[in-house]
Amino acid sequence: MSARGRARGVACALWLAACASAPPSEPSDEPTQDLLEVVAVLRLHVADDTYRFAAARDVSGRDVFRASFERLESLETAHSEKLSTGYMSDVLWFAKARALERIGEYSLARLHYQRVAGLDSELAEPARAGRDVCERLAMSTSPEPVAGVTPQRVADRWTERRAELVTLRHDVLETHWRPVVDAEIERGDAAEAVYFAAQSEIDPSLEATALQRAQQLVELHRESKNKNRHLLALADLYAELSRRYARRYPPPSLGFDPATFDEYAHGATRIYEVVAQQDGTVEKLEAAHKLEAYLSYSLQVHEDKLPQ
Amino acid sequence: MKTNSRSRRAVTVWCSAAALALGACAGEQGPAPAEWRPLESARPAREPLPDSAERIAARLAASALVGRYADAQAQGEALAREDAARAERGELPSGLADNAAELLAACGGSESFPDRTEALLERGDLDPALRRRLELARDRAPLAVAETRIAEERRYKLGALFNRIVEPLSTLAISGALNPLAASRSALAALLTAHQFPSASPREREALHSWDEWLARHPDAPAAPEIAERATELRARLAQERALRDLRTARAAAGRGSWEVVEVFAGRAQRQVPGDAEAAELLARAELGLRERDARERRSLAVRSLAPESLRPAERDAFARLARTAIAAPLGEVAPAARAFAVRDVPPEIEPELRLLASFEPLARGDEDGVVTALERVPDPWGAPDTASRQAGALLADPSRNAWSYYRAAEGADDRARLAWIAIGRFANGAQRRNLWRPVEYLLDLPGLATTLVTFPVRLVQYPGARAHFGGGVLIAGERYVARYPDGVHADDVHGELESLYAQRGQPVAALRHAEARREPDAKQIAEYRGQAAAGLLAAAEKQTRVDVRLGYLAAVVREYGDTPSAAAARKEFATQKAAASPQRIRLTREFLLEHPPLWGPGALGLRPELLDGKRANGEVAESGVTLIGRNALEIALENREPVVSRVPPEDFARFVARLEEVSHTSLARDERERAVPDAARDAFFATSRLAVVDAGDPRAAARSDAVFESTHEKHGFVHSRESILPVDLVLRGDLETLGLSAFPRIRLPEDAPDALLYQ
Repeated sequence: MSARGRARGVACALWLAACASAPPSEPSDEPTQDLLEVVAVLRLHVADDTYRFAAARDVSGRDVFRASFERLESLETAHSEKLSTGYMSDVLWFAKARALERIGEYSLARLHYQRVAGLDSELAEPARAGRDVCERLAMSTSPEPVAGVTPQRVADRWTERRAELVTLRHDVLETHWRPVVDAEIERGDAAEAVYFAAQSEIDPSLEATALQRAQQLVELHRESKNKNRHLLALADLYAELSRRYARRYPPPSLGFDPATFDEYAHGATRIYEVVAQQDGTVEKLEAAHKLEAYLSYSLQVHEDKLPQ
Repeated sequence: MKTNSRSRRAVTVWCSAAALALGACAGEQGPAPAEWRPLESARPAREPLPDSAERIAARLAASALVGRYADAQAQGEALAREDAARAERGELPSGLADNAAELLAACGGSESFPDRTEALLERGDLDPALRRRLELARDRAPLAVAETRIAEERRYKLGALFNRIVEPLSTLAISGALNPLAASRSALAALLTAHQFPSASPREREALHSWDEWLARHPDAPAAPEIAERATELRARLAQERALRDLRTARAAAGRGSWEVVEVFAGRAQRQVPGDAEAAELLARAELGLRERDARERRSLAVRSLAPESLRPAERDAFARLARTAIAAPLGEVAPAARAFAVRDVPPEIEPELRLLASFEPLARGDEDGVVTALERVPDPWGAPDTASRQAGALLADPSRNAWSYYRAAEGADDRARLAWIAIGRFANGAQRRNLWRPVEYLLDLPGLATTLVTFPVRLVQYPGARAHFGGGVLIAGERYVARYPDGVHADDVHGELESLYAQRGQPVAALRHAEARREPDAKQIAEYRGQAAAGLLAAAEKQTRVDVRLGYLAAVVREYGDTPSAAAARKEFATQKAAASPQRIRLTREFLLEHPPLWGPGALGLRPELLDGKRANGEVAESGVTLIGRNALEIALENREPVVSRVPPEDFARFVARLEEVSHTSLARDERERAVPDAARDAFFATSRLAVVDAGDPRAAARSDAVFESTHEKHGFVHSRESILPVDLVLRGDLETLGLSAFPRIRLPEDAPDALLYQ
């Protein structure tokens, strides 16, 4: 065979080999290689704006911060002896702290930062900064017993908490903690709205406050990834208030005022319609079905007022 | 001198004023007395005192109400005697005998009433309204509803089958010679799809519901066992059909490996038909699939080692240093550290990890495309048994992070969809689904596909109009890109494309948002979008039923688009609407008033008769009629005059409202074309007006009704359209795409019941 023929043969063989070795399916179920891989993925997402956008998903489809935390925990359990020698324990704890602060576990994150801060490691300094931030976050978000506390006191506590977080936000404006603090402020505002919505069922005089808090949540967090969720919560509250009204004054009774009912109903349907038009979002489906369900309910109420 | 000149000037002014007044009077006729004072204060004639028949009827009603049936029956006989006596005297009967008979029938309670309607309906002296009410009561009885629905379903199935067959046969007969392929295909397709009737339709479900309701009310009735048997049979068939449908969904989900869906639907099928073997098998497979998936997920969350075992001891500290840099150092420092580590003698399995870390470099400098390129390079060379590649794959598969690639892919898919539509029209998404074996479906559509290919120039002509139907995916991907990367390198391109797509779809507000976000905004184009957006908002304002919402829209036009031509119109409309805003806006047209004189006569609205006598010279109510604007106030629209607002005495207004409601109820009872229109605000206003308890108008927009009362002619036209007695329609149909022509009779199918939605 000539050299040219041999070259052709080799080329053919290479081409066939290339065809045979098509890209393998991604080993998405395989365990992660080592700590560096976990760290690399986590680091890539540390600066993500998780206030405006949903947290990234890892290969298994889970929240990348939660999955990274699980992997680090698994590593710590499986290789505790090796870690006890101090080899890469600073990296592991630091990475765990980074993951924990993104899933709202500030006390645990602070503890992990604290452990690294006590080591002779180049991560000690950033760990101290992380510890301080997580400490402030943990203090601002620690739950308080609400039993027996007046709504005014609760509102004051939410206001204080918000003020502390706003100060913290100012201090961490240029760091990756800014979206974490934003999300925490949002979580507090949402919890406050939920509290007043629940309280208003017992004390109808709080209905206006509940509506105001729910509207404020929508107004203040227009940039949030949860904006549609807040709109849905507001619409749900309007719908719930209309239902409560119809329970208090049954539609066939003379005390039932259709205008009052319609004020609530109008609020609910208008907002459900807005969310139902948001293409590309999961809330679109939810809003469309809630709108349909609510319209069925309000039809029934109006039917009760109809001459048969 | 001074005084004289002043008096001369005064005389001149008076003369000029008089001349102007005379001129004005010559040009326009002064208001007629009825226009000055449209309401008269005449009292209505006193109602006659009740006669003996009415007194008997009252005693009959009282006996019926307290449940003394024997007394009621005796009063009924007394009324019959009274009517007989009147007949003997040559007087008209009381006209209360039919009401008395209904009242006696009603003594048995609502449950037995429908059964007694048949006997009542045989009477020849029934008032038309009463007859219609009795017919409705008879037709609404559960057993009657069930039988009607079953009969309708039978008619529907037979009619639909006939319609499906007759159309292609007609095509075959008429144009078979011209296009035998299309005609035969059409006939074959119709026959093949004839099997697709659901075995339990909403009509049958309603029948089942009615039977159940009847059985609950009449458990011991003689017909109960037979009805129960029919209900059981239908229920079993319904359950079987639901189970089959659920199994079909579960089977399809199993093919996709969606085991949660399989679990739900197979479980549901099993609950419908306990012991179904296929459901049990699918459930077992779903359980296994979910268990395996959980195990895989658990495995994917494990980590093999702290550091690769193959790493030489000398490199282990460097590896740890690299990890420290990766987790805490600025992004820009990570890639150089990874490259520095890579030049050492490192095991091949960590090379992909190092390439993953190298992708941080373009990320640090905000190079979107560079990040994608770097991530695409991570799994290279293929075949390396690494897991870092999957991380790169996950990042590339994230439609938000990798928004540009997704945007480009969406553009490509959209282009292909456009081309496919132009080339093969309705077959762009494959053959029509007919629940047959897929190749058969394609075979059936082959002739149609051939014709569609030939007619592609038609679609080229249609394309400009159809363009707006495309681009949905591009819009979603583009919005995602600009939200994630508002200052991204491709943001301007994306804004440009989205602007154009939204403009094509007639969404100027969205187009404007993107036009304004461009690096070099086109002022002329922006002005055009603003004009369109303002005009759209103005048009939307007109459609709003609530005045507060309408005013809000108008205010938004003025506030947001003050520089557009629509702003002036909106400002004017806002002022008009605001000035005309009233707690109520319930209108009675002139025709309606003429149709029901008791509403506007003395004791009710009290309009002067000359306003409705058709003579313009003495003043005339305009076509729009009169409007109730809240409390007891009335706005009367006059021909060629400004409307006049007057107040009706409260007692007269209450009487007017009562008569108006009576008129509405009578129309509903007598005219089958009438439909009850729900309007809670109207009802609430009438309820309070009737009681004369309205001290102040309710200013809330939600309390306002814009109801309009129109005459029978205005609502239904002058010709009383009657449904043809023939059960068929004759249809002539031509189809350009398949060049088919057909003329055929079509059986008119029964319409859905008003509450069919509740059984779907």
